[in-house]
Order: sequence, then C-alpha cells, then structure tokens
Amino acid sequence: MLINAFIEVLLPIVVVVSIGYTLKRFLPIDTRSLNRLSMYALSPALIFINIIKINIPGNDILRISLVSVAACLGSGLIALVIARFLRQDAKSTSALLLVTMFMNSGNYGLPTANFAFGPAGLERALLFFIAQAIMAQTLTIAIAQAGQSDWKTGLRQIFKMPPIYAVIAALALRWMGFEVGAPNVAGAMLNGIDLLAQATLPFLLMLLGMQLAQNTAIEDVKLTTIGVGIRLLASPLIAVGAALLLDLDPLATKVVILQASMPTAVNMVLYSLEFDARPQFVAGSVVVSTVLSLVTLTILLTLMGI
Amino acid sequence: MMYVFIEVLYPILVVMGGGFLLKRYLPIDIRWFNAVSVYVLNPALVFITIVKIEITGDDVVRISLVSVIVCLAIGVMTYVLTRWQRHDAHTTVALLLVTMFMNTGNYGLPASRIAFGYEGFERAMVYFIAQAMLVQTLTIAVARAGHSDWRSVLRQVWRMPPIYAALLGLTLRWMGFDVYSPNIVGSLLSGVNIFAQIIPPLLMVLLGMQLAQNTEVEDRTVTSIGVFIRLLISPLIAYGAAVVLELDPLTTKVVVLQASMPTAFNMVLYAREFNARPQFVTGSVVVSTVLSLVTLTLLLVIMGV
Repeated sequence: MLINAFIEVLLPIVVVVSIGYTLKRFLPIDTRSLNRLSMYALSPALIFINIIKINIPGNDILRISLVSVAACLGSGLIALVIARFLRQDAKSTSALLLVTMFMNSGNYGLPTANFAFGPAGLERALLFFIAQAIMAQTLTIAIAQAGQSDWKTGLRQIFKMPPIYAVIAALALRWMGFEVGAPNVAGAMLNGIDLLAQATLPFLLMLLGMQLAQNTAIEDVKLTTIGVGIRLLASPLIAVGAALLLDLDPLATKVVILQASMPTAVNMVLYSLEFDARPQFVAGSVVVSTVLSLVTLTILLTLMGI
Repeated sequence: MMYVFIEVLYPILVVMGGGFLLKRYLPIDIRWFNAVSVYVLNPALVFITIVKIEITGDDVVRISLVSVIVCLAIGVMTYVLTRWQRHDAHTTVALLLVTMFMNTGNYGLPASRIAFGYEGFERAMVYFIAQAMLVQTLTIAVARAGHSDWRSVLRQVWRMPPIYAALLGLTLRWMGFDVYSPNIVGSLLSGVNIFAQIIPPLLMVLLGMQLAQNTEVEDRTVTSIGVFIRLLISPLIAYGAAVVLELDPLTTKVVVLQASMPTAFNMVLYAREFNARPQFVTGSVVVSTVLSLVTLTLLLVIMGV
C-alpha cells in the first residue's frame, strides 16, 4: 500500500525531476533562461487557462486561500518561537523563517496534486499556489526588513509578478464570457495558450531537478533538522486544523494538506542570497526537505487513501 | 478556409508568437537549446512514441519510404535545376539544403497532432524519424557533392541519439512493457511520458525564438525557386508516392502535410558548417515558414480538415 502511493504518484514525478537533474549535471544548460521561460510564459499560461476553466464557488476560493495563509503564518510563528528560545541571531532567524514559511507549492505541488487528485485537484492546488506566491513576494521583504516594510512596497511587489497579470486577464475574459474551445478567434487563441499550459507542469518538474543540481552542501545540521521538521511535519498539521476549522470539503482538504506538506521553495535560496540570510543553510535545507519529502509525501498520500 | 486557419494553424501561431516575443524582449540564450533538443528532447519523444505506437510494421516501412522518396526526388530535381542555371558549388549545396530537408519536427509534429489527432501524430512521428536519419546522412553527402562512401554514412547514423532511443523503445516493446503497466517499469515509463508532454509545445516556442533571430532575405530569385520547390512541389511528390505505395487516407494526408513543411531550422547550422551561403539559407527558412501559413491553410482545406 505504501509502495503503491509511491509508485503511482511519486515515481513518475521523480523520473521527470531526475531527467532535469541529469541534464543540468551533464549539459551546459542556462537555468536562468529556462526560469524566464517558465516565469513569463509557461506559468502565467497555466494560471490563465485554469482560471478561465475553473469551476469552484467563490466561497471555496476564499477558504483555500485562507488555509494557504494560515499554513504560512502558523509555520512562521512556530519557527520564530523556536528561534527565540534557541537564542539564534537575526540572520539565522530570517533564514529559518524563509525555510519554514514558504513551500514549493508550484514546481512540485501543482504536478503532484494533478497526478494524485486529477484536474479538480489541480484547480484547488492552483488557488493555494497563487495565494502562496503573493505571500512569498510580499512577506519575504517584511522578513528581511524585520517587519519594517510598509503597505506601498508590498503592493508594488505584487504588481511585479507576471502571474498577477495572468489572473487579471483571465478574470476579465471570464467576465466577458469567453471559454476554451469556442469556435471563434478568441477560442482558438485560448487553444494556443492551452497548448503552452499543457507543457507547464512537466516543465516545472524538470526545472526543479535542474535547480536541485545546483545546490548540495548542508550546513548546520541541527537548525536544518528543526527547519525541515517544521516544513514537512508541522505545516501539514496546521493545514489540517485550518481546513477543519473552515469546514472545507474532502477533496479541498486533501489538496491543501498536500500543498502545505511540500518542501521549502527553491527560490528561497535567491531571497536568502539577496538578504544575506545564510544562503548556504537555506540551500541545504531545500535539498534535504525535497529529498525527505519523498518519504513524508508517500506516507501522507497513503493516509489519504491514494 | 478561415475555419482551418483558426482551428489548426492559429494555436500554433500563438505559441510561436509567444516564443518570438520572449526572445525579442527578454535575455534568453537559445544556443544550448539545439544540443538539448538533439540529445534529450527528440530521443525522449522517439523513445516514448515507439513504446506507445499502434501502427503496423508494414505502414512504418511505407511511411519511411515516402519520406525517402520525397527527399531524394527533390534533391535530384534541385540538382538538375542548378546545373541548368549554372549556379556555383556553394549555391548548389545551399539550395539542396533548403529544398530537401523540411521542418517535420518543431512544426510538422504539432500541426499533425492538431489537424489529425493522436493517430495522425504517430504517423507524423514515423515520417519525422525517417527524415531525421536522412538529414544526418544526406547533408554530409550534399556537402561533399556525392563523394561520401557508405561507411562514413553508416558511422553518421550510429552517432545519432534517436537511434539508441528507438532501439531501447523497441526492446521494451518486445519485452511487453507499456506506459500503463501496473509495475515499476510502467511507472518509470509514465514518467518519461509526462516529460515528453513538454516537448511539442516547447519545440513550437523554440521555433518562434529562432524566427526572432533571423530576418534578412538574400538573393530573391534563388530564394523564390527554393521556397517554391519546398512548399509546392514537395507535397505533390509525396502525394504521388503515397498513391503508388497505396497508403490509407489518413496516412496519405499526414505524409503530404509533413512533406509540405517549410525548410528545417537546423539547415542554417549545416550551411554555416559547410560554408554554403548561410545568409541565403536563413532567409529561405524565414520566407518558407511565413509563406507556409498560406500554403498549409490551402492544403488543409483541400484535404477537407
């Protein structure tokens, strides 16, 4: 049964990630170009198409986003308390917050939700991801400046993100009544964007493999263990609590728990470099949490009855 | 007619346009992409298609034959034409590159998929594999103006990654595995299958990025001749070959569609390597790709898509 969840859902994902890892190791691939392709074309295409197609009541959209916020802030709070208790310096505290608060709900969470729960799962996972992406963009600044950031910089950060424009464009087209597959020029254009969107999930996994191939050393085993523990174990528990409290339906509950149990987001390494918040430790935590997530996700998916 | 354009070509155009805009406005490096495409993307696609394919061996041989006939017949025709027009050796080689080798991968595969569904895609894939081998072997022959011996040709074939992917796919097939087997191998294969889903859209994006790099047209007369042979004569030869070999209706449509594709982008690389007027070849690639939007629309309408 354990083996089944691993083979059915996670092994195909591992294959695609490994292809990306191997490619990066053996070929002179410019990951930044691929990242741009993903950030400016593929991910917005996926978000755009799914928002046009989405079939979830507004109430559920709000509740899924709330769980996303709760998992992020709850994990951050636990990390902050532990950091104070262990008398960590400011840089280590920032680094620990980056490691615990922001999970890989995009590159890793979206394909996994799709394979485990199908298109209905993917739609819900996308909502979690969009809320998460907005928080990563705004809260990381707050963490770096230790809470000194004002709402204007926050707002400016949000409008620097390509996905926001995909969301706005999709909402506008939806409101005007366009849909994918309609036999007119707009419908055919959406078909083209849909073609791009189909490549996005496997592409994100391949990119994850390439990103993992760049980081390997582990620094500060104790703090890494604490960070990874909060990320992989405490975070899904917070999501369970939030989902029960908000009375989510069974599918949405499973999806938000799956998303909350994702390992640390790879782009946290970039933030830690920028903020000078122990980048080596953050990079190590990304690798450790991603590798260990294969075990924790297998157990989680089995518990969910996949 | 508008309908065919909108249903089949417009989605491709949207994706290509995305690639074009990305390349124009963002610092994206696509040089390494050729290596990835040759060593990873194409082999992965060949491998998984062979594992999944549902075409009889007989049809595989006949589709490949059409591919060979089209390429060689056009080669002979172009060669005769260049002799008659007294072109120099560089121009002859360049014109052969422009007319003989079409874009059956980046462009032909997604077009076949959208126009004829998965069955069409499988047939287009067989044509593409045969074409890829022809490119690898005949371009050398073209560059040396027919002086290459069969040994060096055979050596070239064995240097191609898709060959190994094809052999591995055939072995797994023969052992009875497929993507849906409920075991570890089936699961591994479904991983490769998921990865292969990236490839057709990514190839279209790449096509757009490649178009964004090249713009000048050199030597209009020869370009017109080359593009004319590529876009109009080539599908006629394919149709003739399909009739002679008695292909079924769907397969006939697919081989004609593949044969009417514009000049392949990697011909620019070969032209550079052989010093065979790369600027002219580049211009022909762009002109034939843009004009193909018109010729393919007409062709698909005639086929009744």
